[in-house]
Amino acid sequence: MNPRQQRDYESYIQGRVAALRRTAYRLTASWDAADDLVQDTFVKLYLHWTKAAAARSIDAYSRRILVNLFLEQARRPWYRRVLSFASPPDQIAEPVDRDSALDLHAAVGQLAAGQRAVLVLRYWEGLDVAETAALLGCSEGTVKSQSSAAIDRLRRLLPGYPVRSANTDRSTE
Amino acid sequence: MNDEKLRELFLDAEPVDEPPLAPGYLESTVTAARQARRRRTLRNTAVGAVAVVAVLGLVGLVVRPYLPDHRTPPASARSAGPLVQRLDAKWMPGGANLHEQSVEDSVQALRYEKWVGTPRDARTIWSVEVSLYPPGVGTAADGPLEDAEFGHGTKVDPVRGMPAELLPDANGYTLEWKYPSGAHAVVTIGGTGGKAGATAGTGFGDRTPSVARRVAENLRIDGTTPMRFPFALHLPANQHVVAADSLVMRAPNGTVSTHASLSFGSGPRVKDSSTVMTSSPAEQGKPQRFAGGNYFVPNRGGFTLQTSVAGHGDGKKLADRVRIVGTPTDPGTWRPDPILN
Repeated sequence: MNPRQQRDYESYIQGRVAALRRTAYRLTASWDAADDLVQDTFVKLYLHWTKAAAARSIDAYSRRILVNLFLEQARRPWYRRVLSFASPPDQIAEPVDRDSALDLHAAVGQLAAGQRAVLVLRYWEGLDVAETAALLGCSEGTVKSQSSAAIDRLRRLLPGYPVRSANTDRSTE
Repeated sequence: MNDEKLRELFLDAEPVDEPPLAPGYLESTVTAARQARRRRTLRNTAVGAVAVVAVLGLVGLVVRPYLPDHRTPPASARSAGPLVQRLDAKWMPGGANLHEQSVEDSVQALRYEKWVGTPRDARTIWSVEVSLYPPGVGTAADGPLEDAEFGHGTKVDPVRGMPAELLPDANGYTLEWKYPSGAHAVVTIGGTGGKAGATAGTGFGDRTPSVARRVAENLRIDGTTPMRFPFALHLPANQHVVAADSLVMRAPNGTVSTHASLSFGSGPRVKDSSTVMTSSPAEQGKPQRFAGGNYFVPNRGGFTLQTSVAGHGDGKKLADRVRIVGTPTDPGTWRPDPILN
């Protein structure tokens, strides 16, 4: 990598670390794991910077790396995963507070990795079905079925969650 | 519930307790990225280490004696093994700071920069990198160039009688020449431009070609600077060094980042070998852990230590055998022979 590419790369990661970190947090439900995931993403981005810089969107390229790394890590045997805690948490998890936004994070964290990725991309990242399918390298039908299954499971995990109907306008509440 | 409503729901659940990034996070990321690139290069070029294996397996890490009257460039970096820095820049423009040096099997490089400003707010005025590729390497897969093919540039006057060319480099000025052995040397002056031989933005302006040529004319590749390592260990029985690399980067603010690794095994291939790797600054606030087949010790003597063992062996046991012998801020304290008898 020549000096200019190096500067471009460093400038890029400085500018995008916050956004990618939030995406990583949505996927992993842990800031420590998110930081590791983003770092792995940036390392991989560095290795492919020439290609990334020539891509239509570096952001899309980075996000693809991030999601693929997340899915790849989720598929690894349990004993090869990075431990996020120096020692296991010794307190019992607090019961879910239905009024808290953390409920949703906790519930999303219980979904299968693929379903989680689809939800995060579609509803947090704002990608449409086609964009999500392109990023994940799967068909639009798969994205739709994964979304549907994920939402069904969320409904079961959050039975009392204030899920509004499609015709409810929150701005009037 | 439609997509729009779902998006609202999710956006309402944005984390509100976002902790700040750990200090040095981005810097350590960049360091890790550069190390990863070098590790990849090392893996990709492992086959070339066969000759080194034969020598090192018998006599350990050997440094060639200095030959003051040696005028003919030695055959290559590769023939001397990966453990000696062959590049010796006899001339650099005024104000040069040695920013980075690396020794690998497929490329050796020295990078100099000139900085101005305060340590906290330093600015790079120019950068010059010299690299040496051994015979048989037709593409600069690493170093200052990426995938540039030797022999396809614009021919220019010879360098010390050796055929030279300007390589296409949209971001600077790159002069390359070829030794009789087949080794290639490259001087790259970084900057901005748009075509082969561009001089705009290099920090030297119109003087760029003459600066590059003077650096080239004064570059020697018979240096004997041994690679140094901040660690040492006993190798398992019947194993020998397969490959090694070492990297020291000095930032304008004086911060030193380092990386050193040693791969060893019973065969010639890096991918079948075990590896000990140190990097600094060390990770902070993380536990020792297994990750991706490697064992990490976040901070041992100021270094992050990483080990992997061929055949899914116990990386922790290997890590326990490694002794840290240098300090992360002073590579002068490192030792030239990391193998304990």
